[in-house]
Amino acid sequence: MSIAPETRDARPAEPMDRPSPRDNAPGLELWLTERVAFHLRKAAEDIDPDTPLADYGIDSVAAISICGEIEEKFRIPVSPTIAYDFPTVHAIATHLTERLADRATDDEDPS
Amino acid sequence: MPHQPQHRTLTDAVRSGVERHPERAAFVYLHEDGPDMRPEQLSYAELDRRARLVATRLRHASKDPSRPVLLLYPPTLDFVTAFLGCFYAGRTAIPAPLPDEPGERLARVHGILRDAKVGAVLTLPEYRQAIGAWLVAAGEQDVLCLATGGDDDNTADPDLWSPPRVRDTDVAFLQYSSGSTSEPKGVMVTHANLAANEEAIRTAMVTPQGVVAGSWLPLYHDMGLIGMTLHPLWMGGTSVQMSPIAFIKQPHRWLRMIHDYRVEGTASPNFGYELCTRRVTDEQSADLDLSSLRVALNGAEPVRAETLRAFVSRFAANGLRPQAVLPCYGLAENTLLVSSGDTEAPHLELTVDARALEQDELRPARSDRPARTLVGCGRPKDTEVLIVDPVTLKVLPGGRVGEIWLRGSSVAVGYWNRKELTAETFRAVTADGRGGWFRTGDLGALLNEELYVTGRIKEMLIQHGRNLYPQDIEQAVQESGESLRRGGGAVFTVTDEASDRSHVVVVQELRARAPEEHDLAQLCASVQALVSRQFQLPAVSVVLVRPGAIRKTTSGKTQRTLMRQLFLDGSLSVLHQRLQPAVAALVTTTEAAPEPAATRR
Repeated sequence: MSIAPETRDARPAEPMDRPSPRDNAPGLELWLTERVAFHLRKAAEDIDPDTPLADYGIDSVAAISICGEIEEKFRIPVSPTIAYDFPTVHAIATHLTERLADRATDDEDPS
Repeated sequence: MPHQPQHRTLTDAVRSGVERHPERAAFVYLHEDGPDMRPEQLSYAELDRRARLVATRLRHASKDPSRPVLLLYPPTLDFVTAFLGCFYAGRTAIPAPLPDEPGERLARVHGILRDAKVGAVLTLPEYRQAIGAWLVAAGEQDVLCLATGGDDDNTADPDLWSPPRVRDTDVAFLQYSSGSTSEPKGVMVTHANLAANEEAIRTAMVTPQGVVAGSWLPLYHDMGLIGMTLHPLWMGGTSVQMSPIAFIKQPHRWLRMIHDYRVEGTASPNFGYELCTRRVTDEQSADLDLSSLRVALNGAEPVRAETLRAFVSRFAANGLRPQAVLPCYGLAENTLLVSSGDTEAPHLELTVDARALEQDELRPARSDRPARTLVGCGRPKDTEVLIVDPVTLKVLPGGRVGEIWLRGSSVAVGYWNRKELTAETFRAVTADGRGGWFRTGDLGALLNEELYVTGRIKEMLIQHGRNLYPQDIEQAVQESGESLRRGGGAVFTVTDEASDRSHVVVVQELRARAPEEHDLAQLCASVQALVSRQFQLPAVSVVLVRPGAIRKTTSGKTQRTLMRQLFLDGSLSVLHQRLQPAVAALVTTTEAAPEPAATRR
């Protein structure tokens, strides 16, 4: 007996929106604030982007969940410790904006 | 009724599978590959060949067969082949997580190395050099380090393997899931224990031959190892696995695995089911078929009635059968399973009077008083269970809460190299002279033969199924700063009754010359950051106190339960504190001290 599931397409069906990261940094931060609030079981308006996530009681499950959501949305590999390495919403958003900008540059100039 | 086990050892079980169905998948490992999962498959024949290779190399390279073999692997199939290789070589295996960074885990591994007098470490080729260097630096240069799953395997001939001669009483593996980093305790599981518990699981779950089981649980802990990895092997079946991180990132992957592989049995602590209910979107679940699932065990942390109900109703439309959800109770000291619900009946819930429960009695709930719902963990089948007063050692009647004591062939033979502790915990005698019982340290009650687990006696902190010891956190905190007094700390949890969530509190003494107040605020923040990073604990509340404020017994043991009470009563003399809002709300204070504004009193 061999077990093999139906193979699924490894690529997303729809191309990713890739707006210019610099223009969309506030959008990214808003999205991130909303997701962080969800995983910390708080309202988005209660999350201050400059307050350390540790102060809101982030645990390893919430931290890995946030990592998973970022990976899914932006299709980039993210360290499971991102919420510890960049301890505020603002710090994570800035880091992501930079990485997405790097990727955009790489895409434009594939040398 | 005890019956003849179908295999005597795990080696026999796998060899029988190899004879009967060499091409069947013994394992499928789902690796994260971007957003998707890439399956890696291992047939019985290939598993057997690799295990023979490991066994041949182990026998050849390592001189002292009495010393255990430590397995340090990331979650991969190479862990499974190395673990089985130890069985094939007749060596005692120790499964442990690969230390991913300096800190808690490395200290833990070092504790295990010394405690068990490990003779050899097995790992993957990419970690061999780092682990070898670390062994030398740690003064353990006589410990051999072998890499499996790489080119070195070609140095051995699997055909040179011969089956080991093992006795039923030989220790098959050591499970270091209980015990602290500073004082690790290795549970000695014999071949007879393993056979007894695999048979107990088989009876309880009515496991069919060739079963497909699947989970995301860590492979080195009892539920993931005995239940989800070895049980399917025992039954000639297939085990499908993914890493805990892959699951937590995208919880729907677990359900997708059940759908894709027609998984019949799975297991998780309560929080796994909660994550699925909360995070799987309608879009993700639209085409899921969960009707293959006969058994979905919920154990290893307190089982919540509302989680079970929410999970069942959320996925009923996907063919999830309500009776598949099975609360269970088990622990490494009983190899794994003690009791579980009936696979053909819905689980039991019991709503009791919360105040009577505080007095250790199960009484029907009253409309004028708070109530608590307990989830039944089923009937003990293979293991005998007694409820015993932990102080008087009197056996308690049904409906009374006491310590859960166990006896039977699944009960491990003791803690490695700890005669006194083993005698105390594994050879306990009741007040009326019944001997040979294991004391679990868990509290519970039997009612109409159903086991209800209500809490823990020990001061262990259970967070997301992880057992953390207060002394480990206390030690790490005290090592983190000059102004923090060694031996002057108490870590405990406080529980918010409304949400039933527990929060960790660190109370720490300062040295006699205390720093300035603004430095105290900084100190609180750095203690919080340390504990968050090193133990992945929810932002802990930190309370700094004067030297001598931590109460100790005459023998010098920290009185954590008393410290918790003093903290809650607001009777600690606080120099500075940083409390989580939920924790601050629990403290009886004359002056409110809400977070983040800290107060000096």
